[in-house]
Amino acid sequence: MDKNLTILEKVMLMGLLPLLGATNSLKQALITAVSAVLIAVLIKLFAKLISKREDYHWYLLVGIGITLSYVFYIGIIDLFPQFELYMNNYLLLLGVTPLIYLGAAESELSFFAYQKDFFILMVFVGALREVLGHGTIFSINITAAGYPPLGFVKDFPGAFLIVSIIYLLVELLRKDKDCLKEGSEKVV
Amino acid sequence: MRKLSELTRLFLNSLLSENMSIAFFLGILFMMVESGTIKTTINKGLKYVTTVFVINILGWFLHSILPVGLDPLNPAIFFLTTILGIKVLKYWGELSGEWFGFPKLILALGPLFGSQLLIQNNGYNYAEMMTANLAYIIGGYILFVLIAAIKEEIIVSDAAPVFKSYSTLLAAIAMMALGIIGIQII
Repeated sequence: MDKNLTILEKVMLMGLLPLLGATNSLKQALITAVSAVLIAVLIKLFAKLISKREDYHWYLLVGIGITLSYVFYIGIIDLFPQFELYMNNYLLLLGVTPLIYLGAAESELSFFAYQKDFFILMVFVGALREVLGHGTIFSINITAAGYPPLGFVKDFPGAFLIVSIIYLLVELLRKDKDCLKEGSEKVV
Repeated sequence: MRKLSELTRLFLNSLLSENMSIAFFLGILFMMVESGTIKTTINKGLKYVTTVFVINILGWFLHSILPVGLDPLNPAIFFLTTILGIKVLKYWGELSGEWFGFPKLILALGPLFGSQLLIQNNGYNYAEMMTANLAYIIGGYILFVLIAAIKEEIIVSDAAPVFKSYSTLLAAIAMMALGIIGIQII
């Protein structure tokens, strides 16, 4: 089912929740992306300390992940009150996003490649949705007032649509074309 | 009569434009990955929505009996109820195997934990919580089965292989979401 996916495609699936929910504006996307990468690094460190043989290994990691999400949420509001406007529940939900647990499941080399791709994607989707949906970038108006080009992009249908288009572009631009041939198992 | 009207509106909103899966993206990944054939998804979906429904009630109840001063403990409560939900799903034979090196329980965290958080943030009383919760799971169940149906169609379609991917599935969900926005406007 999920065979032959590239790192970018896996990142889009593993980080789907923040990618859809926390990209309403570029600032929101940046805050969430930075927090997600930092939490993922911390989880990776914790994962090394916890024995993988224990049954509760993953439950413990999830508990740490959810706690870290709340610590980051409260910490950012306390340290940078000006960002409170851009905070949302998807920062709290980073603890339930598969991508931040990557360090407990993948090699170190891939780990940083995944985090880099996730960060770039979040920034790109955030910028695209802000420009198309609000007609602004970093809250600076770049279109005539009252005329955002595609207003629906800032809402949830736009999030799905933008992510689906980016996923399709990634599919079309991939170097490994063999898995796209007829009869391959590269399907949903 | 006025109260009924408010609850009806809440039910419709929670079912459509404020549904936890469509509007807040909770459980979308779980549905995309876990949906199989329509037949298997009908059973799987029932187990999934039943668990979400019960866990949401339990989470709301524990949250409401917690003294106001202990509010920071809410995430811990929701975490424990989420683990309980995962255990129930595992008991029912779900969430077995791995997904990209993760145990599949990782996929169920979003809907189980997120829906409790959503209900807490809205500050619902008991009647409102039950109404919204019921609408969430009805909407979620319909969406789960629809995603399975779309996946089946994608697999058997004559489209180029590049379109037989999650991009088409996400685009189809986007179209459904646009339809929901349209219904809401009407």
